[in-house]
Amino acid sequence: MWNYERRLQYPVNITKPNAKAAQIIISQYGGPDGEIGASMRYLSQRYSMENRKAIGTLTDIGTEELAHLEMVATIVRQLTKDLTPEEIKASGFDKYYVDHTLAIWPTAAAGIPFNACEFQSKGDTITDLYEDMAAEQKARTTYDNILRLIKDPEIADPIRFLREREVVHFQRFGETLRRVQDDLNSKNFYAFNPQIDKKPC
Amino acid sequence: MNQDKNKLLLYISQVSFAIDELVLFLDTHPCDKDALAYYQELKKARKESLDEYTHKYGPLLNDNVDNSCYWEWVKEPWPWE
Amino acid sequence: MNNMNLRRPNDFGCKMNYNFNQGCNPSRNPGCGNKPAPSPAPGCGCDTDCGCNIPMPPCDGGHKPPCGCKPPCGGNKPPCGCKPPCGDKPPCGDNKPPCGCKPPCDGGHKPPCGCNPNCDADSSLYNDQLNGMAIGIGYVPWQQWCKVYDLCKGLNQGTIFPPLDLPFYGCVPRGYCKGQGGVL
Repeated sequence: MWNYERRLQYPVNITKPNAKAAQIIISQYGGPDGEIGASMRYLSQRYSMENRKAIGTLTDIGTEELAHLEMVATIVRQLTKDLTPEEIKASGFDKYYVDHTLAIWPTAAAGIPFNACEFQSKGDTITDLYEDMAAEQKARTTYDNILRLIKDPEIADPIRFLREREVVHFQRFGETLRRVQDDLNSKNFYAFNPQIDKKPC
Repeated sequence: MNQDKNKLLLYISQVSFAIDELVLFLDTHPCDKDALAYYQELKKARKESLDEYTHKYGPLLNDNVDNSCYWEWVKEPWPWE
Repeated sequence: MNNMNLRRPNDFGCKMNYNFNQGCNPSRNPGCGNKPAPSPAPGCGCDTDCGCNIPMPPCDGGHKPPCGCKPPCGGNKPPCGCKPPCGDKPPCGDNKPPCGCKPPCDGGHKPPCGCNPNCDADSSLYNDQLNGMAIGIGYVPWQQWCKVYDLCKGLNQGTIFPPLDLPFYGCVPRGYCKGQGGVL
């Protein structure tokens, strides 16, 4: 269901290599609260959703997260592509380099590779939307943490953009939840799961 | 020449981003007339700027590649380069 | 966004030192507003459906009915823990502040039951703009359409909507936001 345009959602133009920055930013590529997890989470949850507007939001935000994934990968690529072997060794980047050279591979900063345990697709609309709202907050916090460490404005600029997107996504998932709540009985939102229970018992 | 190309590409990014924002807003506010009206304006602006860019500098979508001698799509730099 | 600190008159009855009688909200349970609180499960509090059908234990002869009994609210003191009918302010008697946690119990009066001078009267707990909404679930307020940023600023900020433009200002002393560099 995808076409693509030959441009990033927000420009990334980093001119100076920085292996230490790359090692922490890669967490937003393959870490527990990173963009792959976000994208896979939303794109997985949408298939069984009963609420059409929720499917729209999940598909559109899930697609945008793929674009963000690309931006994070671009940032890491530009930070590492001109590293010398001495810089690789001195920065601690050698541990990643030995297995991946200068390629991009989804892993957290602390070394855990991306895996599906880092997201949930629970099959209950309310639960999934809370999962999504929490995911956006976790991603925002991760970007906050990156912004505290980064001094180079060329790096901080796209990170700032990505962080702001998390704030907006949180609002959209919250609104989606309001729509779902409107369709359920407020006397008991949890009486049944509309994704599987065809009518309330 | 390159500057004009970059400026146009930046404009396309700006207008496309506004559309991205509107799409998300309309997914949760499907009846909002102001948002719907702004979306129509942006749609037009984006189409015009995309057509201009494609005409002057080459396609941004691979369903619009013109050249019949060579698959130009793989010739240009990719966005992360 | 609404100002969540906006004060509104408090509609709840005697809060004292038991749970809010939230289930017994007359707007959700019409007719319940005039009925006494039900005999409780654990602890005083209307923690079941506004139990207008639950039989009441008989009040004992004295002035201290068991929790949940129709209060005689004799004299000037509602018995501690006695639940007034939903929506009614209890007659808390002369010189006593209304039941509930109000700012500091001053020296001249005995504090009402459960009053704790540390209670934060500004808390949204006492001025809930979500009053009347179903509990047990959370709500994100709806964004309304507003004047949007121009195209250039929108992309730069990461949103076209000013109310959602919420930048990060926290940083270590040499953080980026102070223009003096981070640590990496």
